[in-house]
Amino acid sequence: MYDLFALSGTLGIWQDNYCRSDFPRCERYIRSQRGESVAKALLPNGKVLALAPRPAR
Amino acid sequence: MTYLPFWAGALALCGAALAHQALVGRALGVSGRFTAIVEAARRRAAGEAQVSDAAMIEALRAMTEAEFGIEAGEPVVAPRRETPTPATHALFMVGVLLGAFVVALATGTFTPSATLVDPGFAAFAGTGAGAIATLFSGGVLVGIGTRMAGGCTSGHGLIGVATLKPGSLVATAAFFGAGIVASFALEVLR
Repeated sequence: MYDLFALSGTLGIWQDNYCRSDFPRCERYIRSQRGESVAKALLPNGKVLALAPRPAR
Repeated sequence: MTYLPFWAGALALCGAALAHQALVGRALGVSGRFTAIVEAARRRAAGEAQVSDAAMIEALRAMTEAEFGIEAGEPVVAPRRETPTPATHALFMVGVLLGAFVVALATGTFTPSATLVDPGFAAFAGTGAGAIATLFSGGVLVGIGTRMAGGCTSGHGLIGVATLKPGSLVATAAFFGAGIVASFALEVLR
């Protein structure tokens, strides 16, 4: 997740609300605790980052 | 052969870590680069679409606004440097090898050999196929361990410990401890 968000200051907003406070409700944390794979684009609120991909070169 | 003093190596590592942070905007790490290269190759082989950093930032900004009601554009900070590409990672690896090679040449410690000359290792695993299998198996275990720990001696030991990251302190203590135990165990087995 850090790789994906390392470029933006809005990362801090998500970290303040999930990582540094109510992390038990973070969907990424929940899935990792279950041993499930965690998609890079999965946000802590359970939604997937809506990306507009460009075609692979 | 003349080896450089240990503190010269320490200063070089420190300089490399600081320079990497200043120039690349990220903490220095090695094992993650292998992962990035392999992941990029896997995505390319699978024909998966690639997403630009700008697209990711914009998507994150939009979802942050939707989740927290924060106006897009504040308090978003200007993005740091672009995510390193697989080519950048590969270039770093080549640089590591080249740097070691140059120093070895300069200090007269470059002694290429096709045989395993360390007596301690040979006493444990021999010098033939068994030694090769032992080395390969050890390498595989190192690779598995670094991915499980999310880093290696550079990411955890050099950067993580210096910045007092709890996960890095635990990982570094674990692999140093395991190395010490393994060393004593090998002494007994020899």
